[in-house]
Amino acid sequence: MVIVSSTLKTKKADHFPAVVTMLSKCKKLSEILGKLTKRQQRIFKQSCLGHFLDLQFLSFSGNLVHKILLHEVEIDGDEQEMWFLIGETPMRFSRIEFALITGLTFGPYPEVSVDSHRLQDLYFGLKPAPNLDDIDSAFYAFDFTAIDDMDAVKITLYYVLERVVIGRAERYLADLWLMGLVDNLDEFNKYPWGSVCWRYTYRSLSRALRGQVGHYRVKLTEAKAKGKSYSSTYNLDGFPVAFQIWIYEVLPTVGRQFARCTNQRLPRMLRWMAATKNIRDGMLRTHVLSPSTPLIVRQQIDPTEEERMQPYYLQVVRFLGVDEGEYGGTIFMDDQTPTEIPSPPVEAADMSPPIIPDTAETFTPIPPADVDQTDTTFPTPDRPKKRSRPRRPSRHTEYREELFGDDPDDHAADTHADPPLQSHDVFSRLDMLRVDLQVFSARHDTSSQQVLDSLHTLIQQIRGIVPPDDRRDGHVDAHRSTSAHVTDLPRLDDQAQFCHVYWRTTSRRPAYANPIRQQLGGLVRSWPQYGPGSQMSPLRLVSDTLFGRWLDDGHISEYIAMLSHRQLVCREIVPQHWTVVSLHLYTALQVTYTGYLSGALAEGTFYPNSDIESFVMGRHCRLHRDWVQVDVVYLPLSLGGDHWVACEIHFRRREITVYDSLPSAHGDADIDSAMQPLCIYIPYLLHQTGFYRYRTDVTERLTPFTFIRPRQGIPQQRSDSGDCGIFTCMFIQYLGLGRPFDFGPEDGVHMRTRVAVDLWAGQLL
Amino acid sequence: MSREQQQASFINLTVKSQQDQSKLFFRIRRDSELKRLLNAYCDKKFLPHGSCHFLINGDRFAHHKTPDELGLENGDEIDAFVPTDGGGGGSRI
Repeated sequence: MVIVSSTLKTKKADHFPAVVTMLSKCKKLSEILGKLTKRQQRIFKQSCLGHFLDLQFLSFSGNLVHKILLHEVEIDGDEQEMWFLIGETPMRFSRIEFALITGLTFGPYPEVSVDSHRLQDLYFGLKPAPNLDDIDSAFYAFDFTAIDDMDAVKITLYYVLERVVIGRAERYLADLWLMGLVDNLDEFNKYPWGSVCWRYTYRSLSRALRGQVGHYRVKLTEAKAKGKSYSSTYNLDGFPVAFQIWIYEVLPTVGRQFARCTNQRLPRMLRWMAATKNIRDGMLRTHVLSPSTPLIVRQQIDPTEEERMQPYYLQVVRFLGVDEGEYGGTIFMDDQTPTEIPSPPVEAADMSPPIIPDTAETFTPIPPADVDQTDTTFPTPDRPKKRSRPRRPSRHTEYREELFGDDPDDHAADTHADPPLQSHDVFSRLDMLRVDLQVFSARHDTSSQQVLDSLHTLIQQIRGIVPPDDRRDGHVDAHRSTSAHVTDLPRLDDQAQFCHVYWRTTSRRPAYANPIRQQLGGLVRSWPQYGPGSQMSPLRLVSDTLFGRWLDDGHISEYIAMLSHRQLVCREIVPQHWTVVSLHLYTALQVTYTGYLSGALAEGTFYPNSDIESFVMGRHCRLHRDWVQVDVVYLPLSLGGDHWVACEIHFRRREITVYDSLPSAHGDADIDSAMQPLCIYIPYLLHQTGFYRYRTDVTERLTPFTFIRPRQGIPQQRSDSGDCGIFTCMFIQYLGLGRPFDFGPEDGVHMRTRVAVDLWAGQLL
Repeated sequence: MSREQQQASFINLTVKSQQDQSKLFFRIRRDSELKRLLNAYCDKKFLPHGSCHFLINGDRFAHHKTPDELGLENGDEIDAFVPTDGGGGGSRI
């Protein structure tokens, strides 16, 4: 029995960057095995390492492995296990997982006497104690067509074992004992290579971070003195690819983001193919450490029925002497809070035994700030902290669960005495404020000054209601590491004035002829940047929106990013069955379609490396919902470059609805040709990204979607107002909230205010 | 400066046009502003400066930042989009 604590081995404050290399030559595997002839490969396949022949190319991501290693927690017990804690469910990496992934066998080391030096004398007869470098050069020099088939296979087996399964640095001496053993294939196949490989892998993984923190500090101070940056470097022995695949398995959302599960073969390492070569810190932050979509965490890898039959599983269970059902089933999280951070009283309530509703699953919406739950104020409803035996729901159940959230009882459980203000409060107050605005601004005579005044009030209110502590990033906004605090804004009177003047001056005269604008430009540049994504100044966003200009893709992108963020933070208010997608998806599909028409592409294929999947997978840092989790996708698109419409792509109905605020601008022929790329290529896109594998409730068909452009019941704009961008934003918002349309042509000015307010809010939060 | 240091102070970036999927390859110092690269791209493509939108990983970025500040790595790709606009037939202000 192992007692798992919630204390990280490496404190969160001590986390450091590192470059991690693996010494196993897993990447070269196809090259190594490609040297064999077809017949030799067939023989190789029969051996105990035969399944390595089918291992797909898997690039090792040191960054991912390092970030997970930093989250190892302390355990009480002398088992050879490692436990990791990201979010609330601890995850186990033990010999069972290792066996399930690699398919190597475990067992006691048998007594084998080896006295054969035949292979060494015959093929490697270089010098008495060759090191691995010598072995490398000798191996690559072989011509396998010229030597005996069995010997070729034996040499390759030895080489794969030495260089892939037991990864070691080149300077080590070759293990001649192994070379002797491989000559006796019967004994070789029976040998517990899982135990051998685990010994190296476990030792290397568990010791990787030992002493690194202090070392890093020293080196960093030295480097800083020279004005340089520093990141640690370490190597991993053994077969760390197994660890990486384990990450994909226990964090399926992560696996889906960074890799591709191509089939359902056994053992599990044959299923995966790494899709992302370099996993950068930003992507890790969005998808793993403070994930936008709820991170699904599995405590351990539960073997399927088929896997329970496999010899490697039976052997490891017998070897460890555990009852397969019970192993790992008894876990205790000690309830002491991590010591490094003082815990607010709110969390004390969290630590009490939660009410476990029947439908609770092991995945939980993860607080953004990381595993130290004490310093986060994310609006997470109380979820059960642990379950002794996690139930494995079907993918479908998981999905439904995720969509429709938690039981009402669950919410009732988290009534705090004094809840800290959270960003969904801000949003709900914004909504209230907007109602006020609605009453306040009589429809037609909302002059710019009034609008500015109301904005002023709004900002003051936001200032008033966001307490100082919540202004740090990570609280109000988990995803945008805004360096700007709300207090850093210039005074609002200046800004309101400025907004007006800026608009007055920018549109009419060129910059060089306009001294005021030059001064103002300087002022804008001195203001803090809001969010990593926005290149436009928030002021320009708002002023363009307010003062009747056309909206371009900058505005629309900001707006849909805001909607996406709002959907994330206001889970209780905003329905979760939809998402928005970047308007650049349409550009990409248009290019594909043009290629198809011109014959450069076959139907249903995309340009190689076109990265079109990233739209579907939610890999963009501000639009981050995976399409697998939704039924409906909203896409703003520009018809002919001068008219915005909102498209609703409905997966179940296989239908695209076009919400057009001015149908007379583009006739039916126009819209027909404009919708072709979407209608034809969306099914292929879904097919290619594996949508249907996860969503068995949607029938898979590759026939084109249909589209309709309803004329009835869609609010229309005034034809000369240039409001279609605004209407598009409002369409998406109303549809997303499930509200009926209650605006009309005369509301254009008023709605500009609302969009401006939302853009403000999006910039601030 | 040794060869390695020289290698380390430069970065290779690709700009991919989303209109025709064509790619241009650039080599730029890690501490110089990306604006230079983007302008060079516009020059090569005979486009007026500022007529393209550039995105890294689907998001905008400040053009005065350097590859180091944006955390770019060797071989990273910048997407170039032609901006879209819309008002619905109204007269443009």
